[in-house]
Amino acid sequence: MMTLMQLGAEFFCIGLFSIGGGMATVPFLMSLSERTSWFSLQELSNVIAIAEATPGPIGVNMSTYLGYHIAGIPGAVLATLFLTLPSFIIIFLLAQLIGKLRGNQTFESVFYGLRPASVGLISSVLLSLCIATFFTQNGSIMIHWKSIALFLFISMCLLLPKVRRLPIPIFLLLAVITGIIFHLGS
Amino acid sequence: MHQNLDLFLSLAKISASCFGGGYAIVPLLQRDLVEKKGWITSDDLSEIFSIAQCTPGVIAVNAATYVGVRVNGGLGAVCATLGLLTPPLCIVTLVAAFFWPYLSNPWVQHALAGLQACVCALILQSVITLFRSAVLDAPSLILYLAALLLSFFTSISPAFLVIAAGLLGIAICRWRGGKSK
Repeated sequence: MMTLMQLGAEFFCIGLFSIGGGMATVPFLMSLSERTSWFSLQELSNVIAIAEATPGPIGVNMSTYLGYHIAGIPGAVLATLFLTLPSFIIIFLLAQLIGKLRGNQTFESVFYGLRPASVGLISSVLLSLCIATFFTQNGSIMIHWKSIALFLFISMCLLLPKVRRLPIPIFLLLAVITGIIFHLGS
Repeated sequence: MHQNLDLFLSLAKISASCFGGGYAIVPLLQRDLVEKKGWITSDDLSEIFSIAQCTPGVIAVNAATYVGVRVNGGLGAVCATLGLLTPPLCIVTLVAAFFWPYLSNPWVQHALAGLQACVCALILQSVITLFRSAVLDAPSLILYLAALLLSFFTSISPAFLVIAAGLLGIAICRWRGGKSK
């Protein structure tokens, strides 16, 4: 019961402070994994991968997976609802004010500061995930060259305007097949 | 009542056919809500996304709530948001329940290693897109680097960094406004 209450509170805060969409929740999930024993960084990176590969918005999927992992079905429902609640309330209120707030100086200048900081947080997560994906340490440091090659290949593909518009599952499927054929991560 | 059910089902359908995060849902909303249903216009949609990008939470949830309010007020917002949440809740819970035991299987591990490399590339792409719209000048570049370094090298809570960045945003804009007068 305590776990469920703490779970709800944690995901409510994540929903309240993560600005810029689903990926913006990852820095908060990472700090959650450092503060609690609910899941490890390795599990979080598995969750991000599975959340990308299942239908639904990625932020919702990640909280459902983690909620289930922490406290079963009640955890999954609670984590998802509490993640959504702050944005639901805020958008509900904003929808009535939207015309008035556009062009408001203070409103605009808050977001002038928020946007770059939020991208900075996501970049820092990207860095941590890359390190976790490309290197493993047991005794000596192991470099996963094949994973780095796949990362570079997909990144290059995503820079091409025509390829970028392909549906995401195509890239995920390619990655799964490559991973199995070339024994990635070992 | 019929309209609320329609909102619920439309958003559920969009959610079940959307893969990935953030902007992946835009073309689906455009096709179903703008072109088929005519509930909102293309202008509304781009407004929704600029607001969703700078308000907290999952972008798709923000968009669904907003569409619900526009179509049928508070009850519409509840139906649209629950419609968006229901399919992933069911699908993901099922996957989590049946998939978790197989996580240590070596084949699954290889597949996941491939997926993780792919996810890094996808995040890099969204960082590039977001960077272009958020980092416009020297002060915003400094805020970006400060947030990146502080969150990577220290254990300061991201919530604190977000609040500090909002306050600094006000301070920078005030200071600029004062200077130009």
